[in-house]
Amino acid sequence: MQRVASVLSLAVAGYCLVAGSATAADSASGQDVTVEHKARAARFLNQATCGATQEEIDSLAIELQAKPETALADWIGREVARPITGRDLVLDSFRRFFPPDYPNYGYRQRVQEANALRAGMMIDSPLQLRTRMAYALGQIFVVSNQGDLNGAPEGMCDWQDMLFKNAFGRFDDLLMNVTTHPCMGYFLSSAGNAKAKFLSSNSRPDENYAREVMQLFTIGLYELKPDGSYAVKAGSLVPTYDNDDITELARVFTGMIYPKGPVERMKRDRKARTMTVFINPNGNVRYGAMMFDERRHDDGAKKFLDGRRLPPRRPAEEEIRDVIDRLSVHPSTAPFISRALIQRFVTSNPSPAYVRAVADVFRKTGGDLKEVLTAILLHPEARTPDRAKAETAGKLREPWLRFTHMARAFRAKPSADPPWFATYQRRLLSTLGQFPLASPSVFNFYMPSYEPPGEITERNESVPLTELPLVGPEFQILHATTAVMTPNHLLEVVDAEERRRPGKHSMVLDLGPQVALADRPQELLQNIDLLLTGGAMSDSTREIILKAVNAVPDGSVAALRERAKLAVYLAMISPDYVIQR
Amino acid sequence: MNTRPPDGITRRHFLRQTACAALGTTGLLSTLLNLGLASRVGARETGDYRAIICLFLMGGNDSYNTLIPSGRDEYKYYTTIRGGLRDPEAEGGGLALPLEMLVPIQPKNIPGRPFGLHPGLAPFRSLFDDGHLSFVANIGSLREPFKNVRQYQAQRGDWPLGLFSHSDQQQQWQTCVPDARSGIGWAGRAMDVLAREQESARRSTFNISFSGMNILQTGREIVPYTMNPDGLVGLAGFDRSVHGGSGATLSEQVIAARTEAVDSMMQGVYQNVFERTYAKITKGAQDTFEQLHEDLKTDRFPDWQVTEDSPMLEQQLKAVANVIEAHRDSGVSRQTFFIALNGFDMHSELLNSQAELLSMVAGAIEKFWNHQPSAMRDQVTLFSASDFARTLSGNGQGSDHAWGGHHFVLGGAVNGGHVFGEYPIFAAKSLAEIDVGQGRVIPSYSVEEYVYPILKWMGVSDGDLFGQVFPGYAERFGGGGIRKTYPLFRAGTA
Repeated sequence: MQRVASVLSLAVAGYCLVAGSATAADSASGQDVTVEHKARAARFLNQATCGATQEEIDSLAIELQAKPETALADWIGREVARPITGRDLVLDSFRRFFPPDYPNYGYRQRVQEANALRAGMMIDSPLQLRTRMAYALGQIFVVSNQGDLNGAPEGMCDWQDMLFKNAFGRFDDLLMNVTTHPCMGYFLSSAGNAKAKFLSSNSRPDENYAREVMQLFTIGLYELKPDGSYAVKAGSLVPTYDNDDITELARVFTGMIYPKGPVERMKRDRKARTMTVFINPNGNVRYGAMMFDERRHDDGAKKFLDGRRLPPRRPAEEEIRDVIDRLSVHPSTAPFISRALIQRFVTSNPSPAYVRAVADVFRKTGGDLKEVLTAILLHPEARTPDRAKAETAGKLREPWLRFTHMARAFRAKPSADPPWFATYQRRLLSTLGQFPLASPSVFNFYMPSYEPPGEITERNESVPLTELPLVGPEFQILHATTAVMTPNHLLEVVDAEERRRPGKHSMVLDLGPQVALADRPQELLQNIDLLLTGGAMSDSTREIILKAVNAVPDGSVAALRERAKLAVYLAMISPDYVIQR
Repeated sequence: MNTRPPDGITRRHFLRQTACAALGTTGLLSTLLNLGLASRVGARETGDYRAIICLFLMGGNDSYNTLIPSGRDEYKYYTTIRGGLRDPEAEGGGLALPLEMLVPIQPKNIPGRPFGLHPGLAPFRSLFDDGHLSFVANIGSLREPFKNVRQYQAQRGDWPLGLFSHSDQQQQWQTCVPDARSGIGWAGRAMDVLAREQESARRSTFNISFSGMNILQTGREIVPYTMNPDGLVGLAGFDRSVHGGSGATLSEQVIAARTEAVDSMMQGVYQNVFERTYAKITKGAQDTFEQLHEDLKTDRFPDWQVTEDSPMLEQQLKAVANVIEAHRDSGVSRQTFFIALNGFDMHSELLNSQAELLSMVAGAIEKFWNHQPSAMRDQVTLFSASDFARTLSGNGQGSDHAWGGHHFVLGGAVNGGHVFGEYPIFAAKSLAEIDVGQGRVIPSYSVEEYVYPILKWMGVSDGDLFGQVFPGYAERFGGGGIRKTYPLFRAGTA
């Protein structure tokens, strides 16, 4: 399928799948591929992309059959090698489709459409592995538009692009880009931060960034062993830093200021009591990294965490880079980041051996993120379906990824003329409880350490304090409201296919292949099981869905459609699917 | 630095040390409750209803700018330590609010020591003067009491975990477990205890959150039910009254099939612990929806108009009022509510942003107060919580994470017009004793000590409080009962 002609619908919807990311399998040859290879392909693609599609499953299954040892590594290699073009970048697209002087577009619409474009990219980008990695990184290095940054749509587009561009690069380069991005400068108030007594008679450096860069972006609160378990001394955990260390690091992160002449400038409207943004009509200024103002920078000597001295009289950029580099090679960083990434891609509770294997790659490659990601996806704990049968295996699928998966697997199309998605996307945050780069705080939508109440919390009571308890981060946003609203939203989308006027608040799935199988319920279930659960649906769930499908007599075309929709909806809310294993 | 507890102690030991002694046969009782056989064990009389509402100011409210000592010398010291008055036009400058902007109050219990409220809190003045609202000063998470900076520095091992960090301090405010990371909160544990005296069929509505999952209301058996201010939601296309048999339309067949399938899936037996947890949460959400749906059909406060454009907090408080009004004559006799308000982490733009948020908070609370019937007022206590206060010294744009902070409690039963706790004397010498750096003040009351009168008012006994609700407090604070307390409620209302 080609991109639609209308630039507007592309920009806003971003919903047309591009078949370019894998050579679409010839359906004739696909028939020879065994079910098992297809299941392996689907399971892998659901870990590595924003949702497996039939075409990609078929194509990868053929490769798996031909070259079982190398097919997945080859796939990763191809994804990594795909060049980034302008149309892959959100800011470029946004600028192209919505120049600042675009007629009849108010400021609020620009904001909504930037959000829609950012999110839509996840569904239709041909660079799926990179997209998924950028999305994962955005949940570790958190900047959120739920606040004033909502008024900086270009900034948020650029932040997403920055993660995208750095997704396969080195960790220290990524962290430097994170540190100097103006959105981060705003979000964690490092922009404008100045040495003591610079801003007022007894002011001192802002500690915000210094704290979070350690707690959340690199080393965490407690020293970790190479396998991600806690270091223990005299029966106790060992804090990685104390407040004196933060005070010292706060002095390092002084001197960053917003770039001169950014396109967007935060401007407080005191009367309206809201943050509005001034858009420079001369829209050619690039949204660059923050700049350095040496007058603000504290250039005295400082002490780093390990007691070593940071020499005096260094320019801000040099010293900040030095500290970023030191944090990147801190012994806790490799296991901390490795574990966090494994949680985003594969499982909430990786074994120590898994974390160690990935952290070793992190260390040996100097934090080469493409190598780290390869190690995560190809480790036996990710690849062996038997491991996935363990009682504590897997993770709750992120609701946003359930949504993108549905859109990709069932070839979603916008259901109305633009700008339908712009208003629609505002609902997604409340119905799904999640939207890219829209978390309530720097702590993301959920903490990596979240323990869902009930059975899991109870089991954890017998876990010593010095060991990691069983966690389920994504459960933090699964509660009585989202547990109902997410299925309701999926049902609305599944049902929208049928409606004459689906309206501006939804999208339409192409359930043609499923409707075609609806008079053969066993085959329908096999199709859906492969697309969604990667062939892992339990017999009991299959029986439940089959019974429901069979309860709708197949006397008419309308009834066949209902059967397909029923099966898709039930599979998408089944525990077998919602827990990705 | 060490982070006791000693070797080999597990969370279960740690949290349960004395719980069983206090509860008696915990296991048996909870089994009975689960089976519904004891649904009316010790049920309270109709009309004996009490609810608490926790308003959590997320991010650490700069409470040294919400309650300000305004006597001549103290105010002068306040302006000094906050870096002078803010010059609204210039970058930088201090964080002190001008004296003429402050809303004056005079606590009954500290004659001769006047205070000023942040101008955004102006509606609190009459609530305070009329005796419905009090402040409690200098509260924070404490693992051991520290008298002064010397003791604090000498006993590094006794600092709360992750002192000054949002995530840990938010957690400890909710758990009262400052020396471990627990997923169980004090309100959850308290409601586990109080559940014994309530109708068990309604247990899923005991703790209601308007801000998603939270640790505070997560107990061993009672977990938060989350609601939106715009009402309850149940599963769409799910209806047990629709039958799909002969004569049914296609749409009825689909609904009946879907309903049966969803029911079967969510009650299924799953080998994976996360699958079980997911199914249980989904089933619980739908079951509770069906229960509450009837209760909340009518708006019991039609005069209180809120729209989508009303502040979210006001919408939430109105929804709380509706739930309370629906329940205070039902089998539910004790409830907790949780509302989190984001945006208090003001490292920058402190003065403007805080003014906006506080005036929104006070405005919503004033409406909540004014719309409550007087009988309800006496049954409801609203209290604030927050990660920590912020540094007295500024960073030129705002302030950073600190420790002890000031809070307010509102209710018909509250002994209003007081500033309880120990508001630090604003003078160089006395503040230096308890300022561990940049104006981070050692709390004079721990979170347990702050909420102790609130939980007593709810009807939790000392035995249950120290045995179950505040695990480890007794040992950490010297073995006796509560170390410090204060008369938060009017005599005769406890």
